[in-house]
Amino acid sequence: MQGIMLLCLLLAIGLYIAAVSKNIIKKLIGLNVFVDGIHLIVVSIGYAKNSIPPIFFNGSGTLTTFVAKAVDPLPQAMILTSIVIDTATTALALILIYALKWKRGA
Amino acid sequence: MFHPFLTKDIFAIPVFVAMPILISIMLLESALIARRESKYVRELTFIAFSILILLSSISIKTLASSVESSIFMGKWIPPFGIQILLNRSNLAIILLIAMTSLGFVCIETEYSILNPLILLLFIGLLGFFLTNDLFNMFVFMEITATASFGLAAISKKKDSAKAALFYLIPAGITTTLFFLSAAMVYGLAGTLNFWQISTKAIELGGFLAAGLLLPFIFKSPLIPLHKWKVNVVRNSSPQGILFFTSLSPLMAFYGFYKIFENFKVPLKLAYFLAFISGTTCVLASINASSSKDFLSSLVYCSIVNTSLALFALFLNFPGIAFMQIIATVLSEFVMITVYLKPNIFADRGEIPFLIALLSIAGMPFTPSFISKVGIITAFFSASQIFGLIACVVVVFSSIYIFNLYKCFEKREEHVKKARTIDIYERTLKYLIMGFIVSIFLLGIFQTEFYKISVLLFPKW
Repeated sequence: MQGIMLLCLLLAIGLYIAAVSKNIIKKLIGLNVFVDGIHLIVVSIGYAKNSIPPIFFNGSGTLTTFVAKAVDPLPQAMILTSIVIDTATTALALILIYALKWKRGA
Repeated sequence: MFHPFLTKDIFAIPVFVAMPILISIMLLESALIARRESKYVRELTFIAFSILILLSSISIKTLASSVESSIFMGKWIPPFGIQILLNRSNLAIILLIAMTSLGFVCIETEYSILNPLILLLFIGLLGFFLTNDLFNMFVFMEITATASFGLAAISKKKDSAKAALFYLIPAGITTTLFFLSAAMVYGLAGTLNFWQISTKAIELGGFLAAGLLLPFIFKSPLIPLHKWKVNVVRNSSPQGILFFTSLSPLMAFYGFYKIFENFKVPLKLAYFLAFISGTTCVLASINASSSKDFLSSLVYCSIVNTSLALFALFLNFPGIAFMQIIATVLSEFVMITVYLKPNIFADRGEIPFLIALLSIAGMPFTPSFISKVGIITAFFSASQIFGLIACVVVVFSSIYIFNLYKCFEKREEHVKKARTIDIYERTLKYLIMGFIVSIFLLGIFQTEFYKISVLLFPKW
């Protein structure tokens, strides 16, 4: 419960900075905080207490017990993809900010 | 669990996915390494799009015998595998997008980097319309968004970077919320595949609806997320202008359709969204009528027509909505291209412009005639408030149509005498002529067009 509240706080902070701040860099940081908060929520969807990593090898027992014990790998795979996309978007936004600064001669 | 018409793979599907990616990476590198050979990049992009159009046409012909076909990437079955679906509806849209994107390449570019960006945009659009998976929809939406930021920011106009940035941040927030909702759907249904989701009958309500629909509300753009578009279009490159006014609404329409088709939508939510699109129609038509600038007026005109299509979609008339959105894409493309490149029609540029303008107004023998009649009937049959909204929209539409023509005439006065046109401009000319012929054909065979639209987009 405390974890969920913390995540909601993180989302709120990110969203507030992205929406309200007039500084573009701060807006971008806010967006990143918001996206990271979302990532943490998605990871928590696939989390199970006392679970094992989702890698099957000979010592893992039967497939049925392994499936019952292992965490769900799909949310983690989704997050990996999302992190890559987020990095690309942030890089592009930074280039745009640089271009903006260059155009205005600031 | 899967669709009964899950049949054989078609050779074109891997090519559809792989070819634009490979070519765009290749072009991007060549554009970065050999900056002086920008012509070479443009030629390659042009050839790539021509091949893609050819492939789309062949695939439509191949699909004539079967209903639809799908491929599982790496032969992994959902929920772990990625499913790419090819049916007549998304192939028809892809053919339209390929032709529009060819027009993007044919418009003169200041920077060679724009060509790989157009291909990247095409990859995103292709993936968005071909995927049958909620998460991949998010991925391809982000790819499209990244390319569109580039198209918006690369222009030489003073505020282009600023406008692109103020588009990037809300777009980032809305798509991230979509991602969160997709994860929640996975938590509820244990899958992200649309067919599997539809069998679970998940109700679309509260946060789930907000998260899944926000990016499409933003792209359409419906109130209250409508402010960004005019600013971006006014400062964008020509390709950016074309994307934001014609293809972005098509994406939003398809996204809404996919969500509404596969989730259980409460009637209250559908009515609420219909009310929002009706309000957007009124405000955008007032803005379009009062705007003195051609591009602003055109953007508001695009918003009005997209909102009308979405209104029909929310009231469960997807066939009519599809007709309306296709008419909007064709007409907007012709109007903007003629405005940006008046030389290709010498001093007769106002003829194609006027045909497109009449088409958007919903004149008889144009494709939006039946759709407009259908939508206005839907407005009146839904409730008296919607009827009142329809009356206001019709009045202001006539004013902004006149306003648009007036703005275009002013532009025509400054057009130089005709000069010799190169192969790209000639292609663009034939493309516009093809679009005008399509407008007439769809207008003449409206009943058939309506039947096909209902077949392609059945009610949920």
